[in-house]
Amino acid sequence: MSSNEYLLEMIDISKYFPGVQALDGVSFKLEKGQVFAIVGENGAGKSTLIKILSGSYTNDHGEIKIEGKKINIRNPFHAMQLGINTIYQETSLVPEISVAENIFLGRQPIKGGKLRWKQMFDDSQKILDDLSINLNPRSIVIDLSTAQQQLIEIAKAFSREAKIIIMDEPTSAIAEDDTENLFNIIRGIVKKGTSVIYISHRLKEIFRIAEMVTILRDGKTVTTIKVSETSEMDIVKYMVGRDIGDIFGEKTYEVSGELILEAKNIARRGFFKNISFNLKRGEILGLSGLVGAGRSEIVRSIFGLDKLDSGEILVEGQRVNIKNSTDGINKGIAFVSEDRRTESIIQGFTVRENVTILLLKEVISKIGLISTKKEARLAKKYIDEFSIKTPSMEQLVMNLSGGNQQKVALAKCLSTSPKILILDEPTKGIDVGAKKEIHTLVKELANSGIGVIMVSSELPEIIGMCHRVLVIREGKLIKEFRKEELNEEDLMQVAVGNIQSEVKNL
Amino acid sequence: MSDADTTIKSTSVKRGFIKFFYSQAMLFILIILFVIMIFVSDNFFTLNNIYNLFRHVAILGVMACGMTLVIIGKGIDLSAAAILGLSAVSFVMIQQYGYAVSVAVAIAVGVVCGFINGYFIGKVKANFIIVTLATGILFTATSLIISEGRNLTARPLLVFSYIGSSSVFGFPVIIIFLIIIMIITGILLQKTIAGRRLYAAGLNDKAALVSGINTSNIIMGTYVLNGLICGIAAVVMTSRIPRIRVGQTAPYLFDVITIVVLGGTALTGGMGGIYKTAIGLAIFGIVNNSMAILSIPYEYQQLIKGIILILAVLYDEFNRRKRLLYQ
Repeated sequence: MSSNEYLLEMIDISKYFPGVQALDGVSFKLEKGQVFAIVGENGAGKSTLIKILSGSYTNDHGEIKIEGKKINIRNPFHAMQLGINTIYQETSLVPEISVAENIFLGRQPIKGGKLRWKQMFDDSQKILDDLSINLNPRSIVIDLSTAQQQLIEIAKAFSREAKIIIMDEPTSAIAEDDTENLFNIIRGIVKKGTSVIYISHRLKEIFRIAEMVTILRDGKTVTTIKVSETSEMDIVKYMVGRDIGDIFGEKTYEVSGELILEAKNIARRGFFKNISFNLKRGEILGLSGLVGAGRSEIVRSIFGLDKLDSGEILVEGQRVNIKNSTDGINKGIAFVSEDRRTESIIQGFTVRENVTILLLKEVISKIGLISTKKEARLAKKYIDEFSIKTPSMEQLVMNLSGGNQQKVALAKCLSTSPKILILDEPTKGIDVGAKKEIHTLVKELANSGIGVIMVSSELPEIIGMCHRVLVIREGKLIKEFRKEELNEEDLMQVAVGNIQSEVKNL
Repeated sequence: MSDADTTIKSTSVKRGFIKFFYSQAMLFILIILFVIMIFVSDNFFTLNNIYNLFRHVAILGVMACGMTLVIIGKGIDLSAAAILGLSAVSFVMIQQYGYAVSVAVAIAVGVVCGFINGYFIGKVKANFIIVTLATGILFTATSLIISEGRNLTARPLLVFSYIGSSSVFGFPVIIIFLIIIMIITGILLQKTIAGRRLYAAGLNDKAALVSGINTSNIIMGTYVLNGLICGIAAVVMTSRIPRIRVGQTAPYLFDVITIVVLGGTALTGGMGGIYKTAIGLAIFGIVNNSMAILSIPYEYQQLIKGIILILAVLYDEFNRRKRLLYQ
C-alpha cells in the first residue's frame, strides 16, 4: 500500500429522499489508524452518511473506495464483510447471554457439532485483555451498564477484524468516568491500526479524541480540518453557519411566590424514595444527576405514567390523585418524554395528526365528527407558532429532523394550555440551532407563568436555564442548589457522590 | 433552474408515481382481475352476476369491517367466526319470543363475546392470538351445548328475511346493508376522536399512552365492536340462510382475515382502513365468483385461497419494509 492511499474514500456522495436532499456531494478521506469525527446539526446528514457506510442505504451518486478499490456496499452484512462495523446508540447485543457469546455471536467455535465453550471464553478473555477492557467474558450482558455494553460492542467489532468502526453518539448515555475509559480503549484500537469514525454532538469530546473533523451542514461538507488547528467556537460557527453568541442568554425574569406544584415524600419502590420539593409559577426547576439516578422515574410518576407507592402531590394547593396520564393532563400537567422515537410523538402520524391529538374536541363539527378544515386550521396555527419546519402538515413526523420532532412534541403538549410543563432531556440529540430555539421557548413559557421541571444530563443546560436545581442520586434527593450556587463541578461532584453533603430535609 | 434542480424534480415526480403505484397496488390488481374476467367469461360482467358476487361475500364484508378495527389496533380476532356462530344459534334458539327479542339477544351475545375478548386483551393485556383462539373454542363449544348438536331452522322473520334476500329497485338489500356498515365503520375510523385514538394506539401504544389516550379501553372497544358487528352479521346471515349447523361458520374466519390483509390494512397496526378492506373484499369476491364460474373444484378453490392469503401477507411485509426505508 503506497503512502498516499487512504483506507476509506467517500467521493461526492449524494442521497435523495422524497422532499429532502439528505446528502449533497459529501467527500472525506479516512486514514488507517485514525479517529475521524463527523459533526453537524441534526438533519445535516450524519445519520444518512452512516447508513450508507453501514449498507442500510445506497448512495444515489458518488463513489466509495476502500483501500483504493471502488466498492458498492450492498447491505449491512456486506459492509461487515468489508470490515465496516457500526456501533449504534442503542446496542445490538443479546441481553440474556454472556459477554463471550455476544462477541462470538454467529461464529461460535464448534467442533463435532458441539459448542466449544472453554475455547470461546478463553478467546474472549484474550480479546478483552488485548483491548484492556476489564470485563468477565462469563458475565451476562443484562447485568452490565450501558458503558460496559458499549465496550463489548467494540470488542465484538474488533474481533471481527474491523477495519473501520463507526460510533454513533457513543457517550450520549454514559457518565464522565466511563467516557474517559471509552476513550482509552478507542486510543488502544486505533494504535492497533483500526480506524474510528466518531459521531458526536459533544464538541468537547472531539477535541479529546479525534484527529480530523468533517463538518456537515444541510447535507454538504462545510470543511474538513485538523482538530488541532481549530476551536470549539469555530466548529459551532461552521455547523450553524452563523455566530450563535451566548447560548442561554440572561435570566432576567422573576419568579413569583405562588406554589403551583408540591411533592410530599413521594416514593416508588425500587426507584426513588422520600422526595419532597415544590415548584413555583414561572420557575424552571432542574433535576440533575446521573442517568439512572431516578430523575425520569420521579417526573413520570408525577405525570401519572408510573404509580406512586406513597406520598402526595398537590397542584395549586389541592391534593390530587393522578392515576394515569389522562389524569395528569386534566390536572394541567404536560410531559415531554426523553424518548422521541417511541414516546413523546407518534412517528407514523403526520405533523397535523400529532399536534392536534390532544385537542380533537375543539375541531368537532356540529354533527359530532372531526372537521378536516378546522383541524387543518388548528394544525397550521401550531406549526406557525412553534416554527416547525416541515414541507407540509401532511408530512410524517418520522421524516423530520430531531429538533423539529421535539417542537412537534412541545406543540402537542402545550396545546392543552398546561400549568406545569415537565421536560425530560428536552434537547437530547438535538443540534445547536434547534436547542437554542427550544431554550428560548421554554423561558418564554416560564415567563408566561408556567412552572417548568426540566430533567437534563447536560450541565451547561441545567445551569443556564434553571432557577433551582435538585440533584438526585440513587433515588434520593441529595442537595438543592440555588441559582447563584450553580456550577458544573459541584453539580457533578454531588451527582457522583464525591462530596459527603447533608441530605436536605424539606 | 439548474441541472441539479431538474434532476431532483424529475426523481421526485418519478418517486411520487412509484409511491402512488405501491399505495394503490391492490386497486390496480382489482381492475386487472376485473378486465381479465370480462374476457374470460361472458357470464361475468352481467348485472345479475355482479349482484350475486357481492351477495355471496356481503356477510364476510360486514365481518371484515369489524376485523379491520381490531387489526388497526394491532390485534386479530380468531374467534370472530365462532361469535357469528354463537350469535346465530342464540338467535334461532330464542325465536319463539318474537324477532325483536331474538335480534336483541343475538346482538347482545355478540357484544358479550367481544367484551370477554376485549377484557382479557385490553385490560389484562394477555396475548390476543391465544385469547381469541381459546375463546373461539369456548364460543363454539357453547353453541354446541345450547343447540345440543342439532341443526336448527329459523322461522321466516319478516323484517330480516327482507334484508337477506329482497331488493329495492332491483338493488339487493343485503348489499345496501353492507355499504351502510362500511360507511359507519369508515366514518368511525376517519372522522371521530375514538378512530384517531385507535390509529395512535395501533401505531405506538406507548406514545398514545403519553398522549393521555386510554389504550386499554380503545383496544377493548375494538373487540366489543367486532363482537357487535358479528352479532349483527349473524342476524343477517340467518335471514338469508335459515338453516344453521354449528360449525358451518368456521371457514368464514379465514376469508375475513384474507379480505382485510389483502386490502392492505397492516398487521403491524395503525395503518389501513375500510376503503382498503372494500378493495380487498372486491378482489376476494371476484376470485370467489370466477372460481365458481370456471367450475374449479372445491379443493382447488381452497388451495387458491391459501395462496392468496400468503401473497397478501407478503404484500403486507413488503409494505412494512417500504415504510421502514422511508423512516
